[in-house]
Amino acid sequence: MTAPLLSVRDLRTYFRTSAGIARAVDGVSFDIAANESVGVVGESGCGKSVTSLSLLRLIQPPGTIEPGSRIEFDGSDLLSLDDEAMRRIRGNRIAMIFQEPMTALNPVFTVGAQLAEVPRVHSRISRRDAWARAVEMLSVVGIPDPAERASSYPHQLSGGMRQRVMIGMALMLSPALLIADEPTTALDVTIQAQILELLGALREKTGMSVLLITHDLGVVAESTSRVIVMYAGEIVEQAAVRELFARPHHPYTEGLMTAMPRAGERRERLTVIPGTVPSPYAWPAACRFHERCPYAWERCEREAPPLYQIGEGHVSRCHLAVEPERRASPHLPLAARAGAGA
Amino acid sequence: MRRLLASRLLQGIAVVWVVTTLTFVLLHLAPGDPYAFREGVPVAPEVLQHWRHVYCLDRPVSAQYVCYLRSVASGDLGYSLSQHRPVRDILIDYVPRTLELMFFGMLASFALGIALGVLEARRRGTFADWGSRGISLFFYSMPDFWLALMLALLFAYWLPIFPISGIENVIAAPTNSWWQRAGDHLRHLVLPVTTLMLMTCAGIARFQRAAMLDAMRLDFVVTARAKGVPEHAIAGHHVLRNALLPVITLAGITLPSLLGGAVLVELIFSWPGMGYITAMAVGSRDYALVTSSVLVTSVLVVLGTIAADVLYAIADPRVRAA
Amino acid sequence: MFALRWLAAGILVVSLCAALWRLARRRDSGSRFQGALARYAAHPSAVIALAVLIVLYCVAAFAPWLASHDPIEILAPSLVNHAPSATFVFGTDYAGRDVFSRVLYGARLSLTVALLATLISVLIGTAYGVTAGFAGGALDAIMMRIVDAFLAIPRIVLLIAVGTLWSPLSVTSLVIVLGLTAWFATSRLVRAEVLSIKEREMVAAARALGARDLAIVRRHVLPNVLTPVLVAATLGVAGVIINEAALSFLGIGVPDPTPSLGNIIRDGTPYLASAWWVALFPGLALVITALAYNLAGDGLRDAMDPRQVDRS
Repeated sequence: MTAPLLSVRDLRTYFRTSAGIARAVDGVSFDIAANESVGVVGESGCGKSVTSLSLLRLIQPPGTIEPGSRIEFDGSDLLSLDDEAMRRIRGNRIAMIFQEPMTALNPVFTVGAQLAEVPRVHSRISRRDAWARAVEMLSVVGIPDPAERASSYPHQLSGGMRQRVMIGMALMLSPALLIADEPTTALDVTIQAQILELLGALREKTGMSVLLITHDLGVVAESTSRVIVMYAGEIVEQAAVRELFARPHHPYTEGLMTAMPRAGERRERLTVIPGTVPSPYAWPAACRFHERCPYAWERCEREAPPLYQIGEGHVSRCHLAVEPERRASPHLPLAARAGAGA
Repeated sequence: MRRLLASRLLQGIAVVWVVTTLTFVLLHLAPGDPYAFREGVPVAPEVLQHWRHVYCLDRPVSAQYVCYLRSVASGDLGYSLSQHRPVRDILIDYVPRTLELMFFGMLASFALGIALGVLEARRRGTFADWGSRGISLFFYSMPDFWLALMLALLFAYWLPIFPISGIENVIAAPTNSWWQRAGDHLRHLVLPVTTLMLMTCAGIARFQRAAMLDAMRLDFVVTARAKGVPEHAIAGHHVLRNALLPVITLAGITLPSLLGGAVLVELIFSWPGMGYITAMAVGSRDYALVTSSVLVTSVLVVLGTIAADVLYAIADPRVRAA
Repeated sequence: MFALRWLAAGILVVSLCAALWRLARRRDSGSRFQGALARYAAHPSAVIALAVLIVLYCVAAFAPWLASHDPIEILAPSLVNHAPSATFVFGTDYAGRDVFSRVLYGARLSLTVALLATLISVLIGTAYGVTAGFAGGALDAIMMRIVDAFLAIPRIVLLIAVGTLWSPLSVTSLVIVLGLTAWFATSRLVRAEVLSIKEREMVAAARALGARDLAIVRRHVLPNVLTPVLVAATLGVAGVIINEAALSFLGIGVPDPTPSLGNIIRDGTPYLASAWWVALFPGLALVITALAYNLAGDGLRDAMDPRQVDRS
C-alpha cells in the first residue's frame, strides 16, 4: 500500500482564552490518499473548520496546535517546518477555498490581480506571464469573457462566479491537495451543483485530492468517496460513502441521515437530534454524544468509547460496536427529557 | 461620481454661506465702529461717509446683510486697517504661502501617521506599539506654539541647523542659483512642517492603527495567507490598501486643526502666510482682516474636504463603479 | 516651613489616590458604575493620568499656600532673568518675578477656566444636540449645517476673531467665549445618540403611551448620552486648555499681569535663548495637563464601552 498523501495523527487544536480552554479539535486522526476525495461532515461547532485550518497552520493565537499532534504531508511533518517553508506549501502544494467568496476576496483588488498573485508569491514570474495564466485559469473554471473579467472587482461578480475565482486561485499552481471549507454553503442550490461539478471535473483532470468539509450530507454523497463524521472535536465515524449511507453505525450519523429530508418521503415533521452541540470549553464526560443518544446506557456515561472497527475501512466511536443488542431498545435521550434545557 | 461632486459642492456652498453669515453677525455685534480709524490718521468726514455708503452701513440690517453677501461673493473682503490695503490683495499675497505649508504639513503628517499606525498594528502589544503611541500622544498634547518654540530653541539656538525665520535667506537670495534657493527654501520649511507634523500625526496614527486592526480581522486575510502570501505583504499590501480608505476621510477632519496650528506656527517662525497676518492683526482691531481669515480658512477646509471625498471615491472601487 | 507644606499636600494627595484605588479594586460587580471603574483601573496609563490630574488640581487649589512667592510681585530688579535656583525653583522672568509661583497660579487659573468653559460647552452642546435630534426633519438639517459650518472654521481662528473684535476680554468673558466655541463636536455626538434612542424608544412610546411627555423620554436619553459626552468632555478639556494658552500667548486671553500659563510663555519668548526656563516650565505644565486629560479620556472611553472589541 502506497503511503498516503496526507496523514494526520492525534491532532489537537486548543484555544486558550480567559473563559478557559476550548478543545476545538481533540485528537483527530485520518489519512488522505493521492487522488482521493474525502468528505468531513458535522454540525457547526464540531471542529471541522478548525481541523482544516490546522492542516495549513492557519490557526492564529489564542489557538495553538498542541504538541503531540502530527500532520505528515508527502513525507514531511508540516508541524516541524519553519514559517517560510510552510508558506511555500500554502497555495502551492496544499490549497484552500473558503465558504463566503465575497468576504474571502479582497474587495480593492481585481480578480485577475488576486489570481496572478499566487504564482508571483511562489516564483519569479513576470507580471505579464502571471496575468496571462490568471486569464487562462478563469476560462478553465468556466468564466465567460475571461480577459475582460480579469479586470473586474469581486463585488462586480455573482456569488457563483466569485466561488469559481476562488477555486481558480487555489488551483493556479496545481496543488496535490485541495481543502474546500463549505464551498457551496453560501450559494444557491443550482449554483451549488455547478460548483461541485466543476470541482469534480478539475479533480479528474489534475488528479489532486480533495478534502471537502460540509454540513450537507447530500453534497458528500455526490462528491466524495470516503466520509469522516465529526462530533464534539472528535471523529465519530469514518467509512466509504456508500457504506456509510447504507449502514450508518454511530447514532449521530443515524440522526443526521434521518434528519435529512428526502424527496418522495412523506413525513409530518422533520426529525431532529434533541439537545444542542456541547461547548468546546466543557465537552461532556465519557462519550460526548451520550446525552443526545437514544441508545445510551450507563457504560456510555462512564467510559469514553474508542474508534471500534466495524467493517472494512469502517470505524465508529460507539459502544454499540461491542454491545449491538442495545440498539433494539431505544429510549428518549437525556437531552430530550422534560426540564433538560430549552 | 458626478452626482457626488455636485452634492458635495452644494453642501460646501451652504457651509460657506453659513460662515459668511456668522462673520456678518460678528462684525455687526462687535463693539466699536469698524470704520473708525484709531491710529490718529485724519480722514475727511466725506470719505468716511462714502465708505459707509459703499458698505451699506447707512441702511437697515437686512440690506446690510445682502450688501455684505454680495461684496463677499464678488471678492471684496473689505479694507485692512493695519495694512492699509484691501484685504483681497493681502490674501493674494499671503494665502499661497499657507497653502504651501499646509501641503507639506499634510503630506508629512499623513506619511508619518500612516507609517506609525501600520507599525503599531503589526507590532501590537509590544514596546514599539505603546511606545510610539505614548510618544505621539505626548506631542499631540502639546500647545502648537510651545512645540514651535522648543523646536526653535533646540534646532536654531542650541544646535543651529535650521533657520527659524522667514521663507528664505533674504540676504543671500539674490546671489544664489535657482538650485540653492530651492534648497534654502526647503531648509526654511523644515521646522514649521516638523512642528505641524509632530502635533498631527498622533491622531492619524491612532486612526490608522484601528483601521489596520479592523482590516486584519477580515476574511480575505486568511485567504491571502492560505495562498502563501508572506506576512509582510499581507500587512503592507492587502490590509493596508483597505485600511487606507478610512484614513482618507480623516483628511477632512485634520485640515481645520492643521490650519489652526498653522496660525501660531507661522507667527513663531515668521512664515509669511495667512496665519501670520491674522496673528499680527490681533492687537489692531482690524475687523476686516480677522473676519476674512475666518472666511478664508473655512473655504479652504471645505475645498479640502471635497477633495478628500473625491479621492475616497476614486480609491475605493466599490464606490467608483457606483 | 515651606517644604513642610508640600509634604502635607503630598500626603493628602496620596491618601486621596489610595482611597480611589481601593474603591476601584473592590470586586463586587454591583452597579454598572463599579464595572466601568474596574475596567478603567485596568489601564495603568489611565490610572496614572487620573492621579496626575488629582495632583494638579490639588496643587492648583492650594496654590496660594504652596507658592514660594507672590506671583505678581516684582522682586529686586537685579534678579531679572535669573536661572533656576533653590529660592527660585523655576527661575525668574524679565520683570524679576518668580516663575514657579507664577506657574502655580497660572495653572490654577488655566485649569479652572478650562473646566468651567468645558462645562458650559457640554451644557450647550447637549441641549443643542437633544433639540436637533428630537426635532428631526428640516430643523435638524439646518441645525446640523450650522454645526458643520462651525466645525469647518479652525477654532483658534474663530477665537482670534472674537478676541480681537471684543478685546480686551475679561476672564469671565474668556470663559464664556471658550465655552461658546467648544460645543460643536459634543452636539453631534448627542444628536447621534438621540437618533439611535429615538429608533428604539419610538416604537414602545408610540404604542404604549401615545403622547408621552418629552421630559420622560429625556430620562432615557440623558443617561445614555452621559457616557459619550463625558468622554468627549474629558478630551475636550485638553483642547480648551491649549486654546486658552494660545489666546493668552497672543495677548488676547488673560490680561497681564495675572499669570496664565500662556502669557508666561509669552513673557519668555523674547528671551528664549538666554532665559529659556521662563518658556519651558509653563509649557511642560500644559503638556502634562493635556496629556493627563487625553489619557484619562481614552481610559474612560474604553471603560465605558464594554461592547467594544479589544483594540488595545
